[in-house]
Amino acid sequence: MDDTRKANFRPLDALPPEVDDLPDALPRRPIWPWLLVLLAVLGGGGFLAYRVATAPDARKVLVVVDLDGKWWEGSLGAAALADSLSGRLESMGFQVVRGGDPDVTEILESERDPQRAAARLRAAWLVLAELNVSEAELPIDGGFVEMRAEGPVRVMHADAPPAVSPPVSSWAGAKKKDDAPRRLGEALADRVFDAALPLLVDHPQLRDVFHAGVASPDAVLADKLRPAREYVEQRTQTLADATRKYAETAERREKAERGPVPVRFHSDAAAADGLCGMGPAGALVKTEDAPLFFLPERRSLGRISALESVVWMSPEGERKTLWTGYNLYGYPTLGADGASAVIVEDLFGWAKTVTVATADGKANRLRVDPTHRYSGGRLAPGNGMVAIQDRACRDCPEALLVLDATDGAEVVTLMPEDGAFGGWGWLDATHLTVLYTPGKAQRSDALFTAPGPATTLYSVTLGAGAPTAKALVTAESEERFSWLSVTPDAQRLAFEINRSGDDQIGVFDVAAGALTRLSPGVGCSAPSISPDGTSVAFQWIDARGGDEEVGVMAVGAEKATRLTDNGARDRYPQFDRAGTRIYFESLVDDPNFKDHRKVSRIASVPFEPGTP
Amino acid sequence: MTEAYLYTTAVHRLRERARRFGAAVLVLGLLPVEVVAGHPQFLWQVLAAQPPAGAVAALAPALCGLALLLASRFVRRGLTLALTGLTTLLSTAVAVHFGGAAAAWEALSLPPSVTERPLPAVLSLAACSAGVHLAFKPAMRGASRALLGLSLLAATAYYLVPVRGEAPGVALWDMLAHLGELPHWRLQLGFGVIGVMLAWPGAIALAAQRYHRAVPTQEEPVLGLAALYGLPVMFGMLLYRALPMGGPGWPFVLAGVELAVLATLLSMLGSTLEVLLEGLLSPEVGEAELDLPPGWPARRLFGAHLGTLGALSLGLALLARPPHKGVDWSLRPSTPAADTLYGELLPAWNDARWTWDRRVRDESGAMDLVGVRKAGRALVEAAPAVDPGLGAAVDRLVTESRTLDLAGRRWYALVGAVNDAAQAAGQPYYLDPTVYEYGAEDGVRRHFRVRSYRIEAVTGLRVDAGDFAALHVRHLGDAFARDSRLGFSRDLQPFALVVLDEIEAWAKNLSAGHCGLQDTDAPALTSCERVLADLRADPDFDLVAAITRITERHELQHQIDGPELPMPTAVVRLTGRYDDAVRQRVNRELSAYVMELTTAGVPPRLSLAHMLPFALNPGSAEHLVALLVFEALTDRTLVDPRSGELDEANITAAFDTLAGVNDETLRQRADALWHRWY
Repeated sequence: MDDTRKANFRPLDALPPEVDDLPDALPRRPIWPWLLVLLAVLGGGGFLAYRVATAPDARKVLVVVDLDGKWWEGSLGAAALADSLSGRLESMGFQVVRGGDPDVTEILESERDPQRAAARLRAAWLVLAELNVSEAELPIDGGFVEMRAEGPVRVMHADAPPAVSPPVSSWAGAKKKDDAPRRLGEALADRVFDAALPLLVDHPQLRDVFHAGVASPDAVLADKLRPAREYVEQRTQTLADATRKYAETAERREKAERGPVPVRFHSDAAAADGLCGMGPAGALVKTEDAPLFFLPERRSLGRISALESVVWMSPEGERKTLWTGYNLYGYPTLGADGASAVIVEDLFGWAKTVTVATADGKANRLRVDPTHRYSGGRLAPGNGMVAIQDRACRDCPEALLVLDATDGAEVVTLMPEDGAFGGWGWLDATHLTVLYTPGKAQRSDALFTAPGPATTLYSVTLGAGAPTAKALVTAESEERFSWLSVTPDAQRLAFEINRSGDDQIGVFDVAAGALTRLSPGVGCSAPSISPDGTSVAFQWIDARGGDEEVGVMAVGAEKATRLTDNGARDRYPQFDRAGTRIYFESLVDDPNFKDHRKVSRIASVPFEPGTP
Repeated sequence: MTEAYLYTTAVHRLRERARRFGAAVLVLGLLPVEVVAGHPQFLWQVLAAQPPAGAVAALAPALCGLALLLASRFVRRGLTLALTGLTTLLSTAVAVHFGGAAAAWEALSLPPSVTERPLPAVLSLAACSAGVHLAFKPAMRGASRALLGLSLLAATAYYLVPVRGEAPGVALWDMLAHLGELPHWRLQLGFGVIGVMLAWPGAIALAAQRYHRAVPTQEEPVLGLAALYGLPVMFGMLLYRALPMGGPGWPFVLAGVELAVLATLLSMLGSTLEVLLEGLLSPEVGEAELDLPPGWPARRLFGAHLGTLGALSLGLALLARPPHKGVDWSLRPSTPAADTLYGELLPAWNDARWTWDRRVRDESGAMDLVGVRKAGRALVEAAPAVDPGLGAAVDRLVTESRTLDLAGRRWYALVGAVNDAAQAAGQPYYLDPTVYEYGAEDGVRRHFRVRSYRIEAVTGLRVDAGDFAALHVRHLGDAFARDSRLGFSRDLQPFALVVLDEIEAWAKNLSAGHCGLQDTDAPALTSCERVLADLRADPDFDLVAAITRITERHELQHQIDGPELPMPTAVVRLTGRYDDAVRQRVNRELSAYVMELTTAGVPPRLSLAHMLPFALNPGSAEHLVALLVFEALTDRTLVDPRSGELDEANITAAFDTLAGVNDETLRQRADALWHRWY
């Protein structure tokens, strides 16, 4: 037996080894490598789960609007806007971080940076609007607050640069202080939505998603956001079609002109401009800027109402704002200085005001009245007084009210007393010229005493005592004078002479006290005398179709000249201060809103002084 | 040697079963404790709404599972393991008992899944299994007989002790007696299976009695296995049968896991009893545990476990004490500032919060939140002027209710703090909180409201059960927020409420001859109007005062009864097909209406006139109450037992009969009736 075999033998009488001394059948494996693997798997899985749980949601939008504060800071306007905008964006397939949710509120209150807040809320998109708010207390009985807001909308995605819209603006008013911001927020919601949604849909991130194929991992996202894409496409197409129609209408109008002189247009193709007067700075124009808007609810074309403005428009079409407000009542008028204007303003339907806007941009409200209706204000030379028609109620007679232009105090009220005022203008700072047609009953005062039922042109002297009136010229029987136009130096006046079947224009020389009658031979209205008093522009009413064109006739001439000939309505002609161009309004049907709106563009034609 | 080996095997078996039971219970703790409108409610969602004892009860099963898992891993001695298992199970039972009782006094009770377990049946089956196993071991035959006797006793208790007002034995007897009357053999088969399941504990216990004399031929006899697994297998068959109908939703999963818990509980308890007795009595234990280090003597072990159980029970009993009833509220005069606070500012804040709460869950509610904050600010600014303490409580109420998912109990606590502050300041105002809970698409929703009242008077009542109180109040705030009840009572509050303006409105209706009956109930209308006319004929009769007194008596009875009112058989029989909440409500209203009839100085006919419209118009708990009262007081049957149709003529006749009885006699009858039932 060799030694190896000997070594493996145990003596027979040896005790069996203890159980614990027996070698293990299988080697013990250490457990720690398995624990490490398990830890790694759990850690990796946990990390992945964390990433998935905190990754931004590609459809989620956080709306942060600063409208005199944010909604979590207590701004009612911002809250109203956020609620409204959220609803709209949700209908487009986006998921909007819910305003008012306490968990959301807590995060927004703790994070100053909206982008960090968006990250915490897992919103991939941030719609940001910081709107400048101005507030004014209007002089209405019981109080009235008007608020206006304006500012751009920004859309941000992760760290990409923001997409910025042009400024959006709106206004609102209310009797109660809390209602105004809420209404402002609601009014802004459509505008902010209109600005934000195209920025979202056209953002490179979403553009790639929409262009991805059906098999791409973004296909589900694209499908969910399909309403947004379709909406923006429809919007873009609708607005483009509408703009094209305006351009075509303008082109047709220009091509249709058959008049002897070229017509130049100063307003854009979709304008709703009204010619108020001509001053050294150009045309005073009232404009109701109501931009085209794609209505979200009805998915159709509309116009979004904006504030009305009174602007100076240069011949080149440049505009400088003199005044903006909720609503103009009638046409503003230019003062004798050609720089100041009398504006009748409608304060949200609660009151009418008589406002004088001066060249330095200041607006002085002379009168605020909840029931009276004012129109046709005329500012005296030197801006000392304003003469304006005043109707105390819907069925009341139209009086002529003269106010002190500095404090709005009443100077005098001239009652029509069964008669009617047909026009008025200032000869100088204290003399008001008035066209008055008496009624059947005798006046109770000693003012307009010219005999007979015909219209008389009076000069009314306003001074410290009671006013006095001197008759300048009286119409023949069966005639009526109306529509008074005064030269800047107040030496000559022009007015309509309405006669059955034979309209005339009267030109009155104040110094000579002489009336010259002009017979254009056609229907005529709205005369406007040239600055030198030698010619009168007027509305030429075409006997064939009642179409209005612009005509001009020299004082003393035998016949008038027709300056425009087209299918549009050309009206309210006025000479510029140099007397070398005649400006007018040219109206056609709005191609997009045929039954509801007219396109009214300011146009002009050249004029040679001395031409017949 | 063999018995030592068998003992070791039994200990191993106990360890395995404890591990399985512990794991099953832990898994159960992760599953919903109830499903509301299809939405699962998990333990952690229910916890916040519970009082401390209730929270312990809700957590007890999971803690029990964890304890058993740890014990099965670390406890080496069989007797210690068995004692630990038994103590853990008993502690859980104690916690659930006290916690359930404590939660019942609160606004939101524990779900039945936590509180309701058929313990005698479980004990019977476990003892039977243990007894049968021990019968195999010669040294343990005495213990075996004891366990088999315990099994029979437990089964008897199971069949005889009423649960929810009815003893299972009676239910089983009724079922078997009417089995033949069922119209279809499938129905008979189904009810037969249920009958077998009900009878199973008793049948097994009876069958096991043979082992008093006979000796099993194997260590795990079939009868022992049948005791442990028979019932879970039968339940499993029913569950499987129900799967195609209900689908694999949460109820199915819950039922499956609960079945596993039942099976593992039975097996663990059986092993526990077996090892416990064997560990105490078997002489082979020492040999079986030779290799283990010496442990505590049995007496010390028992003492330690009993002491733990005792301390736990005492602690829970103290935690679960019912709220103290009765209140001493000194009233100062109301003030305009306080009237504004309770009548305008609080309702405005409440309405704003309600609107925000309802809107923000589905859509953006930023405006509503701004409104809530504004109303809250107005409230918080105005309250300190009434009283600084009240101001602090109102501030806490406004601040802490800014979350949407406020736990219901937290809402009651916040409003309760405002009421406490008002009471401390002597302010005569009360705020009543309500939580509305319902299932919605995204889960269970809770909405919160408060109603404001001005307290006009505080009255007290002393009975054997202690001191009780009632507040006489009037609504504050707008009419839309009003509660139309004449009075109400909540278990968690130390007083009942009597709403004077509702009483006055009802009295006005009664004075105008409106009994609350339709013209189609002409005979009843005539009878009722006659009774009212008789009452009005008495010049000393003050209708408003009378209604106030009976309302007060009614609501105070609710306070006296509490949530643990036993249920008489009459109620069980009439409300058998309704859910537990309806049965409890009927039971409690019955007690209150019966005692209302005993109000001294007020003719019981007034209460009967109040109940008559309920009796004639089905669809409410009060309808069932009125039927029970009329039937019991006149011995008439007012509902056809076969068709379930109402016998309106008989109801009116019963009313007429009772209206003709002398007032004092009627009071005595009502009092006797209450004592018979309760």
